[in-house]
Amino acid sequence: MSQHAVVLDAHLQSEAPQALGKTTVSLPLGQAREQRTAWLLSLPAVLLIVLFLIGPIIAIVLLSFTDWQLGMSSYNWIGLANYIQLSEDEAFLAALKNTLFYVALVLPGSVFGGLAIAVLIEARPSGVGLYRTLFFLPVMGTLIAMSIVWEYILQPDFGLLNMMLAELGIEGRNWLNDKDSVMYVLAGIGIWHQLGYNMVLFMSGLLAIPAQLYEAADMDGVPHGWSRFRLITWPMLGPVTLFVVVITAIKAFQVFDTVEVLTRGGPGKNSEVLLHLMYVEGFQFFRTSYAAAITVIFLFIVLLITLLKTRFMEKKVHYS
Amino acid sequence: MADIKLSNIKKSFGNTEILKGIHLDIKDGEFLTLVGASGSGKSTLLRIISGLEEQSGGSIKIGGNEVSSKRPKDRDLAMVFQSYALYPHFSVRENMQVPLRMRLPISQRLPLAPLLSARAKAATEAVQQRVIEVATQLHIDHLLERKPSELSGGQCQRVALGRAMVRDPAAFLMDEPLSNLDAKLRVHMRGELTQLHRKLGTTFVYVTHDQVEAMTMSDRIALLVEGELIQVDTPHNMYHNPSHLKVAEFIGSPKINLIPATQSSRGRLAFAGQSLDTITLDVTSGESQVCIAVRPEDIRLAPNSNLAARIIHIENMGGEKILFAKAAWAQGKLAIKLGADDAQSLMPGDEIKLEFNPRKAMFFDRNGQRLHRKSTSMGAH
Repeated sequence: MSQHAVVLDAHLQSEAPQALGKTTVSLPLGQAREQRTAWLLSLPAVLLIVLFLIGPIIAIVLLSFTDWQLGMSSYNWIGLANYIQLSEDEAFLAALKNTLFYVALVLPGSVFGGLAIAVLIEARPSGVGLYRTLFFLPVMGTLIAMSIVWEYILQPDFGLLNMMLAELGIEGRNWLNDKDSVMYVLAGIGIWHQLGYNMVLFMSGLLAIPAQLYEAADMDGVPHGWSRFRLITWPMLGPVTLFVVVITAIKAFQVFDTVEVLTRGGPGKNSEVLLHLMYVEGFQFFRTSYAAAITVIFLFIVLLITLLKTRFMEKKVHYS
Repeated sequence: MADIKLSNIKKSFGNTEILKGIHLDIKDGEFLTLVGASGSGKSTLLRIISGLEEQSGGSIKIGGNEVSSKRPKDRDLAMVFQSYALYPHFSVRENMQVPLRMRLPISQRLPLAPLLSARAKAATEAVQQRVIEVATQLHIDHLLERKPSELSGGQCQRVALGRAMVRDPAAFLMDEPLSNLDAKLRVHMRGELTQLHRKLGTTFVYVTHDQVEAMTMSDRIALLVEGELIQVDTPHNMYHNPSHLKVAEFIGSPKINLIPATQSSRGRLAFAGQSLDTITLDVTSGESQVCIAVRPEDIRLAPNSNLAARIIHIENMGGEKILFAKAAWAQGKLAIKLGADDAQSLMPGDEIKLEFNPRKAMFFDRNGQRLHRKSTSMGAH
């Protein structure tokens, strides 16, 4: 994503001096005209971005400082009241905690899992296509539909999981209604869903590693397995890994579908997450400004991840 | 240091035969160049020697030991790759340490080992010392802390060489190491590699498609054509005494001129309606088509000759000029190398008269095999 931006920047910088040089030689007016053309050409894109991205974000930020509710004809500016209320709202604190817990499980699980699967599949010459398809299937399915299937699997009385456990002599539990297990189950489904996507990204990263590096390692006597992974594969996958981590983190923060279908935040508030809470507050209780405040906090977290990526991590993973 | 003996090396990918039984003895300390067009199998042969590729048949002996079943790292060879294949996240120092460190026992390789054991400390210091020694020799000691991305192509090339040298291998294998460099640097590195070889005295096996590199650097050249070794010989003999038309065509720039001729059953030659009385070929077969091959520098202007040609293009090299001319008797384009003074007044489109030195001409039969002169008439050949 931002890699492209960097490339574009470099491109512009290398082009700019030439373009400037030409215009100043011919006509001072030409430069202004060129700038106007540039703005004109990018206007549709700028308009769309303002309309659908920047505009709504500004609206939401402003909204979060009011007491407006859906359908009301008037509103009052109430300053930080929504945020103060959030900081005391147990539902919100639970949602924040659960979301962080969910991310803490899904992020490493699906990143390292995807990497492991990609490396294992690439290491074997046969069955690459089959394994790739199998692991990628969950990504293509609609998560809402998949969640309904999971609901049947996890159903306490006649669900597939508990029936299988019973065969082994283990007593299953009411997975989704148990406050100790519900977040683990949701995280498990999250990992299952994200694994294939990460695997595909890692596979493309693996294919991009020059074969001569491995051959040089062969000549240098680097043993197969872990040493080789640490010396070549892992460092060379740096840019892909960074991308995967950021995408996975943002996707994990966005967890909603499974929660809505399987638990609706229950039992109690034990599986409440940020986006689901926002949905409930905004579209069930119609407390629009309160939901806006939750959204602002959510956006802030996503922004933080993106900033971390561009400012800090990107420098460490690119070698050229 | 070691010699390398290849016997009957074969390699096929599926039904495609890449190498068709290669026999080659590379002497200890020799600079041997494997040269050939792309697809001739030269890189495959080098990779088979290194162990990166497995041969379909035949055996490899390095220093008298059969290594066919050994892994690359156990063959005591070092390789320089075309793309340098430096580890991009490692500094120059770390890159050069890898082959040495990987051969330490694992207990001495661990990050904290030098702090804990005196032996590990000594081993690590020896590695450091050796890296600095080699880096100094290659004039890259000031670059040790840099990453490969901060180096120029030539510097990367030196680091790759350094990584190969630190271990003092039995032989160096080089796979087109200069082809990623610009022309000027390539010429420079050519000289440096030759000097390095002289200084180290180790066996070099060098793969290139560039006949100039082969001619300028090697002790011996091995020309591969479609998986077969056509000739293995010194650069001088490859140029002046090729055994096959393909060798004559591959070595030398511009390419050797080919003039079709007929040969009588007594070995007399005739071309362009005239006979060459001075030459008798040592042949046993009857009348047949032959090919006269003449190097561009063995043709000269001769106003009284009856061999006419029309200049189509002149390449000015400064000290000399290369004329490309069209002539019916040569059935195609001729290249003629002339001194700048001789060619001064010539222009494209000019009609010129040529003659060639029959003593320097070479003759090949229809299959490309060299035909020699009858020894009675021409001495040695």
